[in-house]
Amino acid sequence: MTYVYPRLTRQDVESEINRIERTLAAGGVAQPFPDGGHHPGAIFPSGGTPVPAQHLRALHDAVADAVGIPTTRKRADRDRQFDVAVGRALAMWFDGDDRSQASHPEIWAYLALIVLPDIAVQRFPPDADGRLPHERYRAGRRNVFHRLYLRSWILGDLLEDPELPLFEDELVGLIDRNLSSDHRLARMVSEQIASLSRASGRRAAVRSGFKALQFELRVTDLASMEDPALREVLSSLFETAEL
Amino acid sequence: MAITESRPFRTPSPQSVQTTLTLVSPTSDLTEFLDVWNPGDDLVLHATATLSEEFWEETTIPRDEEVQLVATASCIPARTRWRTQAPFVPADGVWRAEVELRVDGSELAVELLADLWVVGPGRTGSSNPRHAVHRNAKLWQLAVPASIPLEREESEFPTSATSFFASGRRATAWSIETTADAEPHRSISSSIRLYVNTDHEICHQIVDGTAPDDLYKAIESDIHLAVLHTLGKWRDAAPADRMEQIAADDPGSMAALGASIARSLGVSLDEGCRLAREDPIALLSRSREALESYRKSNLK
Repeated sequence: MTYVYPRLTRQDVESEINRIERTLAAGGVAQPFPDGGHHPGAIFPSGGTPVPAQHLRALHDAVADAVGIPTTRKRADRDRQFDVAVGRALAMWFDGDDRSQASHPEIWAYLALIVLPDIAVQRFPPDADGRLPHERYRAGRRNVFHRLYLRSWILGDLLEDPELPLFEDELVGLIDRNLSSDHRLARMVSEQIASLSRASGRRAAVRSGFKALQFELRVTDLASMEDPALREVLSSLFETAEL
Repeated sequence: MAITESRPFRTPSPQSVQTTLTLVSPTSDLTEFLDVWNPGDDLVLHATATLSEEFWEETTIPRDEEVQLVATASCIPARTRWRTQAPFVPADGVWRAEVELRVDGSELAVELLADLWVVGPGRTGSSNPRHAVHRNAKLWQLAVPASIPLEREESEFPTSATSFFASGRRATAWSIETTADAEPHRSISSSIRLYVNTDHEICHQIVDGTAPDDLYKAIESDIHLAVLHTLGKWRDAAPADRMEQIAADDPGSMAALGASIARSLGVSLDEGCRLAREDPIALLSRSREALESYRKSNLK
C-alpha cells in the first residue's frame, strides 16, 4: 500500500518549533505526537492513502532503537555515531516504505517536529538562550533527518567505514550538490576525498576539488565513463587541488 | 542577457542539432499529465535528434567517430538521475539518433527535469596529440531542460484511488471517509478523503474528470453529508459560534468546509450539522436540490 506522508504549513512549522522551545524551557521533554495522533494541521496530498499515525510510531521506534545508548562521551564522536545510525535507519525505513515520500522536503519537517522531536533534540538541542537551531527543524537541506537520510541512501556503507572518514562539511558539500544525483559519482568522490591527506589544508583542497569537478561536469559526460577512467579523472581533479 | 560559456573544445552552433523530446507514458499530453499520473507510476520519455552538416564542420569531428545522443531525467529533491544514450547513425543522408528513457516512479517527487546532450570526442585544437581530444565532451545540450511538474495545486478535494477489494472496503465506486479525530479545527486533508475504487471501470473517468456531471454531483452530495455529519458530532464540544469562529480563522479547516457547504445549502452551519445528525435524508434532498442533480439540462 502506498502511504502519503503529511506536511505542515510554514506557520504550523514555526509554531511547533516555538512550542518545543517553550516545553524544553519549562523543563519538559519534546514528546512525539503531542496531539495524540497526527497534528491537527497535517496536510495530506492527494494520491495514495494517508499514513496512519500508528505506522509513524513504528518509524519512531525504529529510529529510537537505532540511536541506542551512546558509547562515547566525546560530543563529536557521539554526533557521528548518531548520524550514521539514524541515517541508516531512515534509509532502511524508506526502502521498505515508499522512497518517493522521502523525496518531499516538507515531510521532513513533520517528522522532525511531530514524529521524532525527542530524537531531533538529542542531536540539535537548544542553545544557552533556549533557542533551537530552527533550520534543523524546518524543511530544507539542513533538516536534521533529511540530510542523514540522503547521505545514507547515496553513500551507504561508506559512511560507516572507519578507514574513510568524511567530515561534516565535506558531506554537506557532496550531498548538497546536484552531482549527488549520480550515486556512483558521489561514492567515488567520497572515496577520493577520504584518500586526501588529513593535513590542515584538506578543507581547502576539498573545496577546490569540488570547484574543478563542477566545471568538469559542465563540459564532460562523466556518467558515461567506465569506473577506472572516472577514478582517474577524479584523482587528477582532487590531487591538483591538494597541491 | 544570454551567457556564452566557453568550453575547452570546439562546439557546434545551437541550430546544428535539432531535437524532439516528448513524454510517451502515461500520456503524451503534458497538459493532462497530472490528471492521469499517479505517484509511483513510471514515466517514459522519447527523444530524437538530427545533426546537420554544420555540426561536423564546426566541431571538426571526423564522421567515422562515434557521437551519442544522451537523454537524462533528474529529480533534484530525490537526488536521483536516470540516463540513456544511443549513437548517431546516418540514414537517408541524415545523422539521426533516437532514445527512450524509462523513469522509475517510485523515487519521484516534486519535479522532473529532462535534458538532452550530444556527447562525443571534442576537438581541443591542441597541437599535442595527447591533449587534442576531450573524451565524452558535452558538445551540445538543450538551452533549458524540460520541466515536468509532479505536484498538483492542492486546491482540490483530497482524493485517492485504490482497490476497494484489496483494502477491504465495500464494492462501491467511491466512498467518503472521515477520520475518528476529524475535529472542526483540523485540516480538511487530514480529516476527510474521497476514495475511488480502481476495481471499477468508472474510476478512471472519475479521476481524469470525464465522468458524467451527475456522478460528480452524487459524490458532492456524499461529501456534504459526511462533512456536516462529522462536524455534528462536535456540536456539544464546539457550539455554533465557536465553530463559526474556527471557520473564519482557518479557511483550510473542517469547520470552514462545513460552513461553506451549509451556505451553499441555504442553512446555517449549526442547522446543517443538526440535519446531518437528525434528519440525513432531508439534508441529502437539500444537497441534491442545491446541486441541481439530474436536472434535464444535465441529462446526456
